[in-house]
Order: sequence, then C-alpha cells, then structure tokens
Amino acid sequence: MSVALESVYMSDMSSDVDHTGKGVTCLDGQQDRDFVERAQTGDVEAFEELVRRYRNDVFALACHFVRNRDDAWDISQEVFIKTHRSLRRFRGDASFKTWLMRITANQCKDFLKRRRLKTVALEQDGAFQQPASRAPGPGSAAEAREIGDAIEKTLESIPFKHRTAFVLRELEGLSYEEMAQVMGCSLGTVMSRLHHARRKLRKGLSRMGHSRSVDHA
Amino acid sequence: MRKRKWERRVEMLFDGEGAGHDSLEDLSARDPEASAYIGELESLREAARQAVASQEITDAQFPAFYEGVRAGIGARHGGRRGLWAVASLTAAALIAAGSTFLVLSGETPDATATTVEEATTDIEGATVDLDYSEDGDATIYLEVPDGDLW
Repeated sequence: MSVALESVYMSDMSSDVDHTGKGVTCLDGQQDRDFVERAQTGDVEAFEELVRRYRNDVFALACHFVRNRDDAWDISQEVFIKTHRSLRRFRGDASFKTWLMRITANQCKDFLKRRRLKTVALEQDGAFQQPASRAPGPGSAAEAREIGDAIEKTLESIPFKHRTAFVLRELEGLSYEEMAQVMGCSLGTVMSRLHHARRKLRKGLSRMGHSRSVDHA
Repeated sequence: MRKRKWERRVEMLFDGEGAGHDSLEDLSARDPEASAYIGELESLREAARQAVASQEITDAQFPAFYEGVRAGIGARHGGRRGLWAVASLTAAALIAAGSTFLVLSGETPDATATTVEEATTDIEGATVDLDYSEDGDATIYLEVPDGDLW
C-alpha cells in the first residue's frame, strides 16, 4: 500500500524524524480519515496501515511514561487493540493521532497506577539503544548523556499531569490545542501544566548542576 | 522575581503559539530578561532531547508487533463469539426442555375444529346450500341464476 506523505502537522520537533512510523505521522488528515472510515467498516488492511503509521508515536509516548521497552511494547499493542474496539465511536472531532495519544496517555496512567511503577533508567534496563543522531550539544557526549539522565530523573519526580504536558509538547511536538484534546482540559490548563512542568524541571536540573540558570525563577 | 504570567507569555511565543503577538526574535532582541528566559527554555528543550533514546518499532519488528495486536483483537472477538455461543446454547436447551416437559406432562390443549353452521350470500338471486359429508366435511353450494353477469 503506497502512501503519499505530506508534512502538514508537526513543529520542528518532528521534522528530523525518519519514516519508519514516527515520521509517517505527518500525514494529510484526509488520508487518515479515509483509512479510519475504511477501518470502521471492518477493512483489516486499512486498520493495519493505521497501526503501521502510528506505531512509533504510540510507542515513543509509552516509553516516555513507563521507561521500559517491554512494557511500552505491551502497552502500545493494548492501545491499538482498544483503538480497534472503539473505532466505531471515533467521530473525527479530533485528529486520529490526537485520539490515539489520549488513549495511550490513559493506558500509561492506568499502567503506572496499577504497578505503582518504580521506573528503571533506560540505560540500566539495557533495552533502549542510544540514538545515533543524538546531538552532543555544547559539551561532550558524556555530558549530554548526563543531562539526559538528569532530566529523566527529574521527570520521574513531577506529577503525571505535568509530565504529560512536558512530554507531549517537548518530545511529541503537539500544539497546545492538541495537548488540550489529549489531556482533556482547557488551553489555559495546558499552559499552566506546561509552565509548572518546566519550572520544576529547571529547578531539578539546576539542583543537579545542569541548567543554564534558574536564578530568576 | 518574574511573574508567572509573563513567563507563560514568553513560553507561548517559544512554543510558536503566540500568533498575532510579538515574534520570539523581536522579544528576545529588545528584552534581555526575556532573552535569558528563552535561553533557559532552549536549554531545557535540548536536555529533553538528550534524554530521548531511539524509541521505535522498526519495519523489521512491525510484523511481530502487529501480530500481537491482531491476536489481541482476535481473542476479544473470540471471547465475544464464545459468549454468544454459550447464550445460544442455553436458549436452545431451555426451549428443548420446555417442549419436552409439555409433551411428557400430557397437558396439551384439546384439539378444536371449525364447524360451518350457516352460509349466506349477498349476491342477488343466488342461493346457498350447505351439506355435510359422513366425515363431517362441509361443502357449500352457490347457485347463481342463468344469464347473470358478474
């Protein structure tokens, strides 16, 4: 099934992704709707195409929350199973991706609640590979990794709703409007949560000696 | 101490959400404090990117991933099919049991027959006659005058 890809969606956060699932999210909405409508009538191939396109958006978001590849894999599968079950109820008020992100966030929240997960650092878990394209930043690769570890630790310590806001914005590149749809809240609440998340993260990084400055905060 | 409202406004611009307002560059150029805050936000964004490992399901892994999804969907449908199967069997068993009970209890209602007691017609000039055979079957005879047109 060949698909013409059009970049109509993301901010710069997704401009450098490849086309192995994550990048394929930048689609013409009409194409998505066509696939969704076909899938709603029981077209198995259309549903498979939707899974193929959005698997990495779902998987990445799950990874950000549960920080374990195996768990994220299971959660992602469960998200698509739930999606299939609820597909007939999807009206298209929001984009398909936004709807998926909402299901994923809720699934992760439930998972974390159930397990009261004591998260494991990705590198310790050994399941994640280091990205080849990870930018080293101004310092060395070791320093970049240290910063990465620091923010992971800080992210763990902030409330789920704040973490969700930060992850959706900074790591998934969603707009405020899309974030509001995913989190089921108003734009003002989105801004508030994002602001609190950034504030806490800057403080956390500062404590660990990584932030440029939080002197004014 | 910076006001949170002010920070949120800068964050809006930083996130590209401040359509119709200042551009980030303009704000940064004329307000050193804003410039410093934007620098902090950029540092945070960069740090977040450092934290992101390559989290993807490759094309090679996709068949295995989708197989799990397919199995999950199938299992749920299978579960539902099983539920319907059990419900159907239960209903069939209840009907069969009820029928058997009625037959064996001998409480079948008495058989009835329709008896023709009288026959009439509105056709002008026609006559109706009723006759019973030895078996009790009724035969109705209708005689219409010759030359009458219907």
